[in-house]
Amino acid sequence: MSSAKPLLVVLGATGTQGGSVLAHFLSMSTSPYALRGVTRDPSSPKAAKLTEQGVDMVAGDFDDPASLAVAFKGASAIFSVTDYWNPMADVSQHQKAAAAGQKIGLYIREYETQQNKNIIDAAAQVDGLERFIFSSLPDTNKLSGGKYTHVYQFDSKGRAEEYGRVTYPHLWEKTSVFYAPFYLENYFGPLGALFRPKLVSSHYTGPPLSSLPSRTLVIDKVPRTRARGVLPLPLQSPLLAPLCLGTRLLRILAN
Amino acid sequence: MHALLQVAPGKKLIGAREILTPRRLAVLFGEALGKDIDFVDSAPSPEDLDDSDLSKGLFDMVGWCAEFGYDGAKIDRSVVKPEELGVPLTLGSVKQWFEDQEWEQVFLSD
Repeated sequence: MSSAKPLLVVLGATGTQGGSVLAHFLSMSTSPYALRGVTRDPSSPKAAKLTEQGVDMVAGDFDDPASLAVAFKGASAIFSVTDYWNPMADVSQHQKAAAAGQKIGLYIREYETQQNKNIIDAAAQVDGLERFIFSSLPDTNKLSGGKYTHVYQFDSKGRAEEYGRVTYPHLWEKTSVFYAPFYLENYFGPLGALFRPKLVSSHYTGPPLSSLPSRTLVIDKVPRTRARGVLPLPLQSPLLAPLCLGTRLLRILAN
Repeated sequence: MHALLQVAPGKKLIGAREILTPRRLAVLFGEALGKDIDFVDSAPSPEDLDDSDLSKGLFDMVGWCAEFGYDGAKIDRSVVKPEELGVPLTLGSVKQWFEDQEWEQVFLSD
């Protein structure tokens, strides 16, 4: 990869969104960008594989502004993304929320917003930055006039987006916002069974389907085998919307 | 994301190949698998809810999507779809994605 190419820095390089961005450019016969991936642990198997593919993998922690300043050095473009659900699944975050006397949802909202502020602060200081792509979601609380106040995984990002727009007008002149929808990959993720159709066959011995509130689809019997094809690599492979989660998923997450 | 780098800044993009209702999603899923699939409404009932943030979050998420759309496009007119960027795109369809996956193993494990 020629060093003369502009540098695209991708956050969350081993995650769904950042990984999809890198996979897209790696799939091109000639990437228009030199690629740098930011991850907490550049020695992880996923990171090592990206290194093998020619990505400059560097360490970066959204809680550590100094690490972001280093990771962003020389960037022409930055793709920024954070995640709400991983901190939500982290026991230590629950302990911190309890120590702070806060409910966990609100605590993680504030935590993710601060991570995004750290990213935005660092991006605003990058000499030569031409484009900032900020993965966000709507601030549902604000846009609904306070009607919906608990969609924390959206508001955490939307509030940071507003911070960036107000605090750094010069950066925001170079910014576009990306909303990621429901990931199709969720069908095969750790909680995929909650999204998949409920199998109904002569062998089905589970509870009545009407008692499964999380099941949105019902299939009649085992589908025939299909060969796994090569996934198309669009700008973003996780795509679709909107699909509502079931309460069973929430119970699992709560546990 | 690549398309956003190719056009002028200031865009707000919902990066979806298609925007589907769950009912339409069930139809496409069934067509892709060659099976009959029925949609079962899974909106939370009051007895499913408790006082937790997660429970309230689910309730508000459903309400938000129904009233304003997942991306808020019903109230925020600045949200654009990929085809509105003016960049040639080949995103593929959701139905094709369903067709390209190997489902039998995961269904059998459910």
